[in-house]
Formats: sequence, C-alpha cells, structure tokens
Amino acid sequence: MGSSTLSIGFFFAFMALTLAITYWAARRTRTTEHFFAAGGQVTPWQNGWALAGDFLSAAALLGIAGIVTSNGFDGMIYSIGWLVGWPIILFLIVEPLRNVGRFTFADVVAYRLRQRPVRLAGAVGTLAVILFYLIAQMVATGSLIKLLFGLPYTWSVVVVGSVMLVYVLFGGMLATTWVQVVKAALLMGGGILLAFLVLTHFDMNPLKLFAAASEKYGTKVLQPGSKVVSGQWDAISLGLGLMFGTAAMPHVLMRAYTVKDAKAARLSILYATGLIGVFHLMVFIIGFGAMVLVGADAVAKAGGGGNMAAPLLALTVGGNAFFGFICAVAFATMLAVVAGLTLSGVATLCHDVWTNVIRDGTASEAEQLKVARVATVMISIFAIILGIAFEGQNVAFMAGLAFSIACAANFPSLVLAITWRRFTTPAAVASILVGTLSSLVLIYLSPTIQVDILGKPLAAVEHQWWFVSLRNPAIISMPLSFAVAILLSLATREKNADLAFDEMQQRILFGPVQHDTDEPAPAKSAA
Amino acid sequence: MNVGISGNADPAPNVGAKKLAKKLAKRRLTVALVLSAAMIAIYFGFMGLFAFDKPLLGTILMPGLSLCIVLGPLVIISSFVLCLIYVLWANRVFDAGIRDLR
Repeated sequence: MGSSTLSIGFFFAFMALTLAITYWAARRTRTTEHFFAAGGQVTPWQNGWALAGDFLSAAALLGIAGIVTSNGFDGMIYSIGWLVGWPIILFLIVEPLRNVGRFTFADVVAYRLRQRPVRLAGAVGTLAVILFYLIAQMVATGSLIKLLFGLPYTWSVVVVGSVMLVYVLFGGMLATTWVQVVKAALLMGGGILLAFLVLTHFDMNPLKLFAAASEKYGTKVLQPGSKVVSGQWDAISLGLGLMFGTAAMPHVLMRAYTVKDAKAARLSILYATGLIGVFHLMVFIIGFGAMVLVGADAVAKAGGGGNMAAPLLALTVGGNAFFGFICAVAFATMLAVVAGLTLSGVATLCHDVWTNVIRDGTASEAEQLKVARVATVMISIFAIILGIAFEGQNVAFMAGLAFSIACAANFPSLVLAITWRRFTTPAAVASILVGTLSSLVLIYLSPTIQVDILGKPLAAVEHQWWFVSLRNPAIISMPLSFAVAILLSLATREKNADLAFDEMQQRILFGPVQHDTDEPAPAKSAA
Repeated sequence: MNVGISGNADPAPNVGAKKLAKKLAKRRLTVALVLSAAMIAIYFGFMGLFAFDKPLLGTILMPGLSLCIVLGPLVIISSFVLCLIYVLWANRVFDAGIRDLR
C-alpha cells in the first residue's frame, strides 16, 4: 500500500505543477496564434523537449520495455522505427512547413490549391489519425492506471480526459508545451536513473547485462525472432509505416509552428531526435534489466501484457519510492500525449474546417477562439466516451493504424505539395482519401481484424480472394496514394497552382513576408 | 490569388537575386534528398536484414553481443548524426546564403 500512496503523492505533485502552469498560460492565451502556436514564442530547446514529450507515449517506456523483457532484441525494432522518421521530418518537411503554414499541415498542402476540397480532405486524414491514436492511448491509459494505481477503469479514463481538457481548453498550446516539457524531463530522468541503477548491477557494462540475459534465457534473446513482427514483407511494411508515418503525424508537425522561425524549427527537431534516441537506448537497457533482475515470468504474471516490466524493475532496483515515481511518470506521460493529440485535432476542426471551409477564411479572432474551445470540449468528451466504450478491447493495432494512415494519407500530399509544380487539387484530395481508405480497408481484410478481433480461424479466411496477409498496410497504401496523386496531377491542369509555385518556393526560403504577419497566412484561392 | 505574385512584397525583387535564390533552393533540396536517401538506405538495409536474413543479424560476436545489438543502436546513432550534419550545413551555408539574398 505504501508504494501506491507514494505514487499518488507524486502524481498529485505533477498535477499541481501542470495546473499552475495552465493557470499561468491561460492568462497569456488571447488569440488563435497563442492558442494553437503559443505565439511562436517557444525556444528550440523547449520545443525539442516538448516534441519528445509529445511523441514518447506510455508505449515507449512501458510497452517497449515489456516487449524487450519477453522477447529480447525484437523490442528494438519499434524503437528504431519510431526514431528514423525524425531525420525525414528535418530534411524534407519542417522548414517548408514552418515557412508556409500557420497552424496545420493542410495549410501547406492547400497553399497553392483550392482551399475547401483540400482542407476537407486534409481534415479527414488528420482526424482519422488522431481518432485511432487517441482511442489506443485512452484504452491503454485506462487499463494501465487501473493496474498501477488500482483506480477503476472508467474513472481512470474520465480523470485523464478531464485533466487534458483543462490543459487544452484554458492553456492552449502554451500550457500543452510546458506540460510536455515537464513530462519529458520526468520521463528522461526516470528512464536514465532506472537504466543507471540496472547497470550498477553489471559493473556499468551493458555487455555483461546482455550476457547475463543470454545465460538465463539462451542466446535467442540477443537475436532477431519472428514473434513480434511476423512475415518478411510485413516487417518492411511496418518499417515504412513507422518511418513515414512519424514524418506526417499531425501533432508532431504542429509543433513546427510554436517557434519563431524555420531555423528554430530545424534545431528543435535535432534536439528531439537526440532526446528520443537516448531514451530508446535506455529503454533497451531497462527491458533487459527487467528480464534479468525481475524475470520474464514475474513480469508476465503481473498482467497488463508485459507493461509492468519497467515499474517492477523500479521496485526491484529502487524500492517503493522509485516504483511510485515511475508509475506517476507513466500517468503523466499518458496525460501529456492525449493533450497534444487533442490540440492538433482542435486545430484541424477549428482552423481548417470551420475557419477556412465553412466560413471561407472570414471568421473573426473571437469567433475562432470560441470554436476552438467548443471543439476542445467535443473532442475530450468524444475521447472519454470512446475510451470507455472500447474497454477491454484489443486496440493495440489502432496505434499502428494511425501511423499507416499518416504515412499513406498525409505524407505523399505534403511532399508533393512542397516539391512538385504540377501537383493539383484533384490529385491532393484523391491521394489523401485513397491513402486513408486503403489503409482502413487493408487492415480490415488482414488477420489483425479478421482473426484477432473477429475471432475467425486463420484457415477459414486465408484462402478467401479478399484476404490480405499483411498486418501493416503501408507497403501497399503509400505507393497507391503516391500513384493516384501523380497520375491525377498529370491528367489535370491547374493554372493557379502552377503560377503560385514560384511564390511558394520563395516563401519556403524566406518565410512569410514580414509586414503581413497579422493577416491569415495562407492564400485564398482565386476560384 | 493574393499571394504576392504582384512582386511588391517580394524579398528578392531583381532577376539576378531570383536566380541565386533558385540555385540556393536547389542546393538545399539536393542536400535534403541525399541525406534522406542515406537515412532510408541505412534503415531499410537494417530492416531488410531483419526481414530476410535473421541468421546473419543473429550472429553472436562475443558473449553478450550479437550483430543486431551492434547495428540497432548504430541505426539510432546514425539518425542523430545525419540530423547533425544537416543542421550544421544549414546553419552555416544555407542561412548565410539566405542572409545575403535578403
């Protein structure tokens, strides 16, 4: 009971700090520029931490550590996949995004094209990503908090949903940024301390830790297996989805707008890459530490599908206080990630759908803020309801699905809009919709849904003509989305898009023209 | 379109500067594409081994160390190093070029 009281104590300290930050941020959040982009005042270093905070979900600490504990090396496949997308963001996406857009990635895709259709399609792609990722996070949160704190599932979901609502509703991007920074610092600190304590048992030499693991469980824990990722092309497809999905996650891209210019955005991606990389190396040590010091069986017996590996390891090497701390950090992590997701969903609903589609770019500041707050409440309630509705369901695939959709729906249109003069409105719309729909259809026809969720025997479905053996759709849906975009661009002509290309390239280099900063940045189409 | 095609708000108004800007943009794209290609080659080289040649990746080099435990962290480190190369290039060469053009 002592550890539970301690973890609740740590957790309340985190809540008190973040709510104080929210109160402070609320007084500084008066315009949409503040609400969605923290007024562009975040420094690269802060933004790097916030990006790490946004991106490192509970899955990164608890999930991957658990996979490593039960399967050895294979857990690292996810760590690597979640990191290699960051250089792609840096090289291809972040500077054009920062210089051309304002709040969302659709700002950039729609810049030269017809606003309404492109923004609506962009909203479909973005909201699909956010919906699936949010459900996966809420369900994981509910069951983990039940496991860590003994709070009933429904209450866990309601608490997380309500606290995230408070952060976003009152504090907007400024509060969300600081919540991410605090959480990332706690997560990094906790992870590094945990890895350090593990290594003290092995003369500070990771090789001795791995050797001890292979002595206890056989060398197979140091070798790639096929339990975590089965199928050769499935592994490649997973890699594609993780790499290019990361590079097009809306809540990550949105953070490019919180800093003052493209150079600051560039630096923040560098810092985030370093932080996330170091963290994943720590998690690998933590996973092996739990395997040797706690034991794979003890972790499996603790429930939660292996998620207890890191907390149990903390209990073993650091006692009750450390266990409480790691549990509280996991809780804080979940809160921060759902807040970031919600904010990017709100930006899409308010800025893309309401302001630019429904109101044709004419909504006043006050009206936009009101819509943003209504959208925040709606998404939070939606998240709570879905979180409760999916209790006990196997939703782990939804996080992977979110990455696949981001990879197939958002990435191709974003890259083509930035680099290809001939890209047209029908091509952008079709590419986003085909990317979204094909990912959904492919996953529905795969063993993930047919066997794992619907419970049909594999033998009954695997010879059906419609059956798709791949569990990760990206290898089909991403090339399909690119092909549709290229073919439709070649088949159609859009004079305005063509004419605006040079101007857009100028803007990618030099940023928005200085004196019109208080005008809505993206152009309205002549059509 | 109200996107400043008229030229009055153009930061690089004369033709020579425009040409230089185009050249700089092209250079940035080349650097970005080369580094992206390097990242993609490294990552899918690794994933290709993981998918198609598990025994090779599972070679035990010494007690406690297999080839994949060497290569996996190397992929992570190379991601950061490639980012660092880009940022150093962009901060020195690209930003200087932009400053000259403004």
